[in-house]
Amino acid sequence: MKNLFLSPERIIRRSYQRELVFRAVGLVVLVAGLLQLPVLFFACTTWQDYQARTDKQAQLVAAENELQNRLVAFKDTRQKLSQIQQWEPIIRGRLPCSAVLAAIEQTVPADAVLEKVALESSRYQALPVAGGTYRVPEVYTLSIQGSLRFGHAEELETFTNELKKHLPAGAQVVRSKLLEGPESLVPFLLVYAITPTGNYSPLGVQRIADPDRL
Amino acid sequence: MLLTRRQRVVAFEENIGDLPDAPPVPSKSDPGTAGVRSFTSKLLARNRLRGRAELLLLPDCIVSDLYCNVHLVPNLRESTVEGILESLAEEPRQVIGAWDEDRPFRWAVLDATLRPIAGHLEGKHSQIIILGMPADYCAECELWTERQDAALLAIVPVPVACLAWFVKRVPTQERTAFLLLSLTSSLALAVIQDRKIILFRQYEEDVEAANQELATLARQLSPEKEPYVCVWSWSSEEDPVYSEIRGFQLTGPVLQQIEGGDIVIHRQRTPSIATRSPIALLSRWLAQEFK
Repeated sequence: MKNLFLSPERIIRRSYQRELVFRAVGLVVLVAGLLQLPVLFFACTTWQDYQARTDKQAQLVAAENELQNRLVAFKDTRQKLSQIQQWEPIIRGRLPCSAVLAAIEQTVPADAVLEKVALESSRYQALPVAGGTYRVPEVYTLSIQGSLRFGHAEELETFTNELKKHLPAGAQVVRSKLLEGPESLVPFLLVYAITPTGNYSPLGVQRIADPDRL
Repeated sequence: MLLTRRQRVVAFEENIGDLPDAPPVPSKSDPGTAGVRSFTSKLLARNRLRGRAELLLLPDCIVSDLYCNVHLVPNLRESTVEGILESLAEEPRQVIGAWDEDRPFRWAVLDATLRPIAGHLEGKHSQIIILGMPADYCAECELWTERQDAALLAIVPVPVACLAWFVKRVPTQERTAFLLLSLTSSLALAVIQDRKIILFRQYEEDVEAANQELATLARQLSPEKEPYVCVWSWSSEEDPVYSEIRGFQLTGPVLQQIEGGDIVIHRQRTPSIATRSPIALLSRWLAQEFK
């Protein structure tokens, strides 16, 4: 009849106050519980970090979705820009003939007469663009035929070098040669190989603005 | 109030109900007048004892403050003690058909020899005893014990303690024993067969009514032999129940024989006191059982 009509709380309290075994077990449970505190703290902080990371991830996913939605509106523009970018090597491969002629005009010696100026393209590269394929030349050959007044043959070298300076970077002198002719005039042949680089500042072509970095 | 230390009775005092901060009495919600020192500390100091007391309360309840009845296991809906206790706590009518108490009760389930049981009943017990006491009174006892800075071992109603004592200490052989308990405000009748309680009833009426009931039960349960009736009274040898009930009186020399002598209280500077008060002997036996 022990503990008859006593509440369980009262029995437990009395046992803890009076019974050594119960107190020892209680002590072990308390110590074990205290030992769990660092683990609980670590678990709590880990859980909070996980929650924060999850929240951040959700926010980033939402932002990504929003950006994707915004990007849909720019799809047409992106397509057009892509098409424009396809034209970049075509435009870069072009050579401004008027600027070449202006450079010749500026550098030709006063004692020289030009008979023929020819600009020929060669070594074509096929570049696909919307609507077809473009053949873009990789090398331009500039041929100049003319005559120098007798006694001024040495001006050919000056003319060759001066014109080379005005031509785009990468232009190579293929031939610079005096030919046989009448005594009063010395004919010459000058040939350049010009590789288009898109930089025509030596020709006097100024950049209007920095290109878009698309 | 019986005070023991190491199996030795140190003090026995009667009529402690009027003392300040006395133990709570059922159906009397009197908080008492607690002074600076509690009832228990005064008691210990008076008897030159130190330490924390262990208390065993034996309330003498009126009929409505104690539910004690023998139930046949096959008649119960629940098959486990835990199920019975749960049903009792939820709604006592689920277990006890006729229950008209509004107050919440605390419940206990014991076997027919008044030992605590648990688990499944089927195959182990043919009958069980369900005990109940008002929860308010039990809580009041617990609070009072807390105020006394003591440990409460149990609240054992006097009839239950007396039944347990009788079953364990009084030889009945193979006879059906009828035990009549004369308490302060009621009478209780128990029938014991093979050291098992098979019936328990409480009476608020006079002794005559109990005597008639006893005669009826004796005819039913022990028709061939003369009924073996024992009478126990908490008070003294002069209880009128002894004269009105023809039976074996568990008093004076009989109790002395059963318990192996009187209670002798040794005191310093004063002569020793001997008592054979039934309630003192019952209290001493119960205290020894709880050691």
